[in-house]
Amino acid sequence: MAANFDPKVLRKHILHMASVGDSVHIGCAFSLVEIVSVLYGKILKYNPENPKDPSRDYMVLSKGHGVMALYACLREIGWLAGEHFDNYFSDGSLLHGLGEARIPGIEVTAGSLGHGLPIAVGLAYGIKRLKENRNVYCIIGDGEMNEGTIWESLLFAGHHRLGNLAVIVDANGFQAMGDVNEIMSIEPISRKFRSFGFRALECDGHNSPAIERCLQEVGKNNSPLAIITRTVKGKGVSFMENNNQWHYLRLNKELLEKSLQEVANA
Amino acid sequence: MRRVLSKLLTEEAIKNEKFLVLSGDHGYAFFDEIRKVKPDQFVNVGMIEQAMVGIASGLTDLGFSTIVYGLSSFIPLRVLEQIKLDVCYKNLPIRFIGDAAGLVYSTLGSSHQCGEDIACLRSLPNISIFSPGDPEELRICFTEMMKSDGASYLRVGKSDNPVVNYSPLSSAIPYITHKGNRNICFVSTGTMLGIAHDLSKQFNASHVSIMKIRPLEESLIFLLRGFDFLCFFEEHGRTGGLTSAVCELFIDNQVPLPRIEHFCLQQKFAKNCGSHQFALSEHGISDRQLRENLSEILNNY
Repeated sequence: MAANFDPKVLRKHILHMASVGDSVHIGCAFSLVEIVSVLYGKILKYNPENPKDPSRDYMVLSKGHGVMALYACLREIGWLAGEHFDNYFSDGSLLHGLGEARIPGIEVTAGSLGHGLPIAVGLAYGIKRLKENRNVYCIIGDGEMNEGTIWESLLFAGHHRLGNLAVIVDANGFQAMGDVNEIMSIEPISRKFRSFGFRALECDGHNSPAIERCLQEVGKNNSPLAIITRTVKGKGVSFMENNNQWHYLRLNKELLEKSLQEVANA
Repeated sequence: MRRVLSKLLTEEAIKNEKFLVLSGDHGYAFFDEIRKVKPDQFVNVGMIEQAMVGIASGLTDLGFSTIVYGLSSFIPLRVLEQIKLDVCYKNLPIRFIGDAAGLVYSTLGSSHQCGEDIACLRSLPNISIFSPGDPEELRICFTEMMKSDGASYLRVGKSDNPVVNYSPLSSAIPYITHKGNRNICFVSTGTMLGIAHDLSKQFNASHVSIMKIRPLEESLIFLLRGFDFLCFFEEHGRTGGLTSAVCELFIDNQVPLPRIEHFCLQQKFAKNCGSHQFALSEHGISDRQLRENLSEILNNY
């Protein structure tokens, strides 16, 4: 069956696995659904038969807490079987609650934040050295930008003019314990990126055509690209949206039904 | 030793165009040769040690053969989590060089001294640890490290220690540098090679040098089990280093431990400034203290 990266389908997968596994981090995954939907549906070069295809573009999820959105895409491609969603978090099951590089299609072990972007930068630098025509897309969170390694990596990417790199910021305005700008002011994100030698674009992170237009800009010049996607944590389910408790809250049967209905009717 | 290492890195760069040396702005004249001969294969990433490990991980994923160089206070200590998650988890063949291990930078103080690196790395999965003591040990360790298909760490200590090996070694397995007549064996790693070898001759003990601490050669047990008394020498902290590794090997093989003396760094920071020998004396392991202590211990043994 052809992969279907419709955000509705992806959110349904996320709700299913979160419910089965009694998992947290639903809000974190929902904010980046349209981003991964566009990436896998329209942008990334990958081989459905081989997640390790040496000619692939790299998709690096640095914000490991959103991994359920990535799992949903990998299921649609066929790299993950439905059974791994049906037994999420059960004893002996395959998938953890944060990204791990042993899973087909997951390039980095993330969740300890600030790990993915340095690796993505290393990949982009290596690809540039090899003069290959491949891009590296890395999703980071705005909260994750607290981490020092993010800034180390941006310095390196700007200095080496890694035009094959796109850093996509899932800017949902929240981190684990509250509002990003109350805990550690991060704005203006675009200006910060520009001062590090990036091109910086902004878009509505739930507007798929807008995301796609921004992503089409990768590689158009020698500067690395930053795309600040303005997103809503918990997007798609009204009682989760901008409610940071859904970083940690879990679904019960009633909430699951309500969520599935809202997602279906979106 | 650093001259030998510099040459080995340059030779490797000449052999393999995908061989890259990354440094976090450390090394100064050490990299002159590779920078002259293969400038594109030396990358000073800047003082971004944590990101440097991630960058190496990405490069290695693409098929580059990557050395990550730094002072041992930073590589591996500062970047331990990056080594764990970005390298060991993926079992990538990245080679780390931790220079100036132990108390080499005696005059710079605690920020540049490191007696914890072996212990830290021994607690992680999927990484080998080499700790050579003279140029020949360094050469064979480097050779084996480059052949290894997993991550490895090369601990480089003070570089002007006495040379023990004047002929080539064939492998990095533990070996006897001196065979004494008493039922006592000195066991050393890294920078303690020269002094332990010297002392073994003075006290008519045997001496075994261990340059590959992890994985530890199982046959070591047969080399050591016949001795009644083992004296360990390491410029590393009491916990988690050579002595811990060897004792664990005895335990794992259900072999009773003999009497043990352990000459090592204590778990404390430098108090005063001074020479390398002075710094060692704060831990009771300067050459003079070792001689005196061993005289007292062994003359009554």
